[in-house]
Amino acid sequence: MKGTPLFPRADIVPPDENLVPRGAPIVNAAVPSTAVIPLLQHEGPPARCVVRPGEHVREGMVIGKADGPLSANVHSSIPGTVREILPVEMPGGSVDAVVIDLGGEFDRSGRPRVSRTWEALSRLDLLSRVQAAGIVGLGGSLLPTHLKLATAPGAGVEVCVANGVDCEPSLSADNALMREKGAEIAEGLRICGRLLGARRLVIAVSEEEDDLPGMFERVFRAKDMACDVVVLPARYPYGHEQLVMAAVNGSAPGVEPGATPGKVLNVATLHAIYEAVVLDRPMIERVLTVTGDAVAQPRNLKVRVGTRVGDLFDECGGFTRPPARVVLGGPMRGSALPSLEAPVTKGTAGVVALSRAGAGPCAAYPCIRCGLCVEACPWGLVPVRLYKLIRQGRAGHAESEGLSRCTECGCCAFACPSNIPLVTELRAGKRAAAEAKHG
Amino acid sequence: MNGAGSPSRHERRAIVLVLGAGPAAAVSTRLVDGVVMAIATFVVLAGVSLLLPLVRRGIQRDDAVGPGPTAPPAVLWGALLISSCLTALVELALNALMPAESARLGIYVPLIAVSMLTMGRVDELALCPSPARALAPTLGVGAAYAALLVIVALAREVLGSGTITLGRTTSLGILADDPARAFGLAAGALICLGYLAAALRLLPGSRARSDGGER
Amino acid sequence: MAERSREARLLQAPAPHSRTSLSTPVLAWIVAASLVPALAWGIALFGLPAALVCGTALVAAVLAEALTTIPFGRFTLADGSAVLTGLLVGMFMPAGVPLGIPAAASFFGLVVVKQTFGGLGRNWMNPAVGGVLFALVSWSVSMTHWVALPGGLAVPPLESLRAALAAGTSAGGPLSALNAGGYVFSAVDAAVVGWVNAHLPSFLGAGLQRGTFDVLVGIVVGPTGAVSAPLLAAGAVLLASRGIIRWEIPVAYLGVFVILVLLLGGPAAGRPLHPGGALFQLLSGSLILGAFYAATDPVTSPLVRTGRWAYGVALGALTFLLRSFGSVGDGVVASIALGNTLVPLIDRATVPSRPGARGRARPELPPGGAA
Repeated sequence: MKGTPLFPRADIVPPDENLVPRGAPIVNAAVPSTAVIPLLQHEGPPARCVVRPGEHVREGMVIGKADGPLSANVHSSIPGTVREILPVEMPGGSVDAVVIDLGGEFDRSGRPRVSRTWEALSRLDLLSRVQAAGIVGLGGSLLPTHLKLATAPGAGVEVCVANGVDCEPSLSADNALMREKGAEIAEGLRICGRLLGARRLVIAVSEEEDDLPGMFERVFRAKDMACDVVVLPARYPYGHEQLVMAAVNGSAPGVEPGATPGKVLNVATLHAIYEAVVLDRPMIERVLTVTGDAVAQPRNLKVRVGTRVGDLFDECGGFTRPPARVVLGGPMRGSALPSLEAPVTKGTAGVVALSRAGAGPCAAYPCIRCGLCVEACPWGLVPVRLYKLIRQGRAGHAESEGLSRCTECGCCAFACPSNIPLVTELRAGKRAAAEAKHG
Repeated sequence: MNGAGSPSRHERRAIVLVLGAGPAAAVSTRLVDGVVMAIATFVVLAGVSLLLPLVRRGIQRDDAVGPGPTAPPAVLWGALLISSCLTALVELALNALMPAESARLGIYVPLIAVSMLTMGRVDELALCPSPARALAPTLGVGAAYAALLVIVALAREVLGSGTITLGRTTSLGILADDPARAFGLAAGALICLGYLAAALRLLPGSRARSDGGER
Repeated sequence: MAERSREARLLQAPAPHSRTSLSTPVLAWIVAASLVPALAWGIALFGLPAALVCGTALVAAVLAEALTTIPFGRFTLADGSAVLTGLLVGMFMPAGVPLGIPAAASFFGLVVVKQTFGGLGRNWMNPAVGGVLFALVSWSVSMTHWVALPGGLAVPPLESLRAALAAGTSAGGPLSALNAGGYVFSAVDAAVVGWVNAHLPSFLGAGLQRGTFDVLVGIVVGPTGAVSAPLLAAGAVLLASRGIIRWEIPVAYLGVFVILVLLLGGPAAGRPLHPGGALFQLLSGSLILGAFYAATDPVTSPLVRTGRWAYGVALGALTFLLRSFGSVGDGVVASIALGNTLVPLIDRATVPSRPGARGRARPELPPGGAA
């Protein structure tokens, strides 16, 4: 039924650090008394603020309107009063955020859910619902999802894949979500399949979650839905879109995702699509993993966008030891936070507090040519060679040796015994190559 | 090509590029060999730089001057002829005055003519208009090459044989009993030349360049 | 605001935030530690002289590294590579050499071969191999000052075999040639071989020859750290299983060497090695030490797997040639030094310049494909 493809590379098995126990339920985090909602939670230009300080907002009300086709709507995650609009420090830089003090009644939470049928809706109606809800790719791309779904049917999208492999090691929010919301995710997949005109639906799950394939097959049978389950190895970076697509196709990784006749959507995105289309709920909360060896009780939390990161750790029993760094996202690709004041955004799949300082920003030792990075690279690149070419100012040459295929997954830097910041250098090399091309 | 400023550059180039390393590696295992070889080379270099500009007018047709900084073939042939003649003279003189030393150096004295070519001097001399302007840089090169031979020979003899031979052989105690014979081999010469080249890069004014460093 | 001061200490560093526990110094120290049992065996066999030689090599290596780095404001002793070099230099040496030689070899290796080219990661020849080669070339006579085992000769079996073959001995194999040539094996060997021969079922043939146990276990004259092939191999297998040294290099190296000895070791090739003596040749001299610990130095071996295979093959062939016809020791150190110089060429030929173009990263799907 299902083959487990084994790429000869992509062999990173990061150390298990205080993981959320498998099968642990998703815990609802407390509603924050103050929500700090950044107006930029997606790729592309920030949303345009449509509220003023002092204004009362309802739960799920639009507070930032998409500014251009690449932008996405931002909604208030709590009812209350806008206190101020001020810049906050996010990993990518300073971003304007709306600060809302909790107050007034909840319109949605605690009320009975009214589900709507969607089968009768037109393609455009469905797309506009997805767009209005401000859904972005939660697998890490953060591109507005309606753009991905806007491919016309008949454009040759063969297969629509629900990616249930967590995008980072030690995060398990997607797995927890699949366990609790399997039917909703399947419904979301059906909506996307219909939008894309896909002939085949597939759900990809991790090898470690051995109960999920059976669970999904029951769900599909109950829904009378034709959908395959593909099992991927529990190694990083199998959750990457291109590797998932390669596994589904049985082809070599490294082909541009646009070139393969398929679309990959993260299960959290599919769940958000279901909520938007069927329940008319915008993206104001998400499930994320709080973990790391400094955390007392690692948990998967359902969190409102705009909640302070520090509050999440309080929710998980606080710290057992002082954290040396706190990462927004996962340990391989996430961004180190300057402070615990940063808010949770739509794209936050996890929050990791590590007690050890771990890898520093610069090379600890010279390259000893061990070749471990070569074996770690899932795309078959030679990171050490690209690194040296870039250091010699030959980024263009590095480009011709495959630099553009680097996805910055971090495997090479993880494996490097000399702690050479390969990802940082390769990213700089891509920038240099792009500048050389355009100027 | 403007006389006075260039010697230092030429001296360094001769060593940094390890030009003429063949004879240097082959003969510089005893100090006395290095010194004799250095004198012989110096004499030939000086002779060529004096004679070539004198005869150049006679053998060079004006229309044959190429566009680049290379000498016309006729002048190159002339230079080779002159240096070969001078080399033969030096070899005969050495044979007459120091027969034992001449036997030791063997083929490497005639090879001076080839070293001249490889040192790149012939090409530049052929373009020099007058003996005076040719002499200054040539003496610089000759002196540098001589110094190189003497230094390398001294280092290799001390480390590789534990002796110093100049007129008579002096033994250096414990080193002479069990010397590091690797320095007597060609590889020892290359190691010495390498460190000399590195030392020259440290001199002020040298065009020490960093090549990115990593392979 | 008390919380703010605590947060101020949060480390800002680029991803990834998690990394392998095998850092460069850890790798070097683990390899150094895995050499200790074999070194201890050698010191137990040869006694104080061996300890002095190895100690001198180690101290000289550490001093040389310190002198070439500390004045320039760097401290690199903690990365373990100088200690590893010092250990290896001592282990490649006979126990009876004058102490100046290990000191000079370590010094040459660290200063000329390693630090001159920019230190760790920049050297194109393994410093220990370079240092030992320097000693072998410079002091070829002193480098044969072996220390005899109690009641034995101060000659390694390999040299003794060479002499026996040169004298025209033509017994069936290396051990019989050695026995015919009057080589003295240990009393333990007599007891073990005698016992095995007495208890071996007769249908297995003639039984073991004198010297089998000595050669297998390493009760023979040889370089201090190289005599105990079992301890070296055990350590190397552990290292290779954790990916600390690359198994491709020793496998190709020893494999090609054994094949060449079996194919060409006979009289047809002028009897350079004894026919039928692959195991003896494998366990003689410093081949095991060199193949597992000197040839696998990552700095001076190829970057990718195919290159490492090619490198191992080249080393096996070079060692066979140099041991058969060469004059520099038993040929292992010289062939690794030569092999090191080939590494840039091997890299040029094997490191993919357009990765993925030949489908290198193709997934291995079970028959029937996915789903």
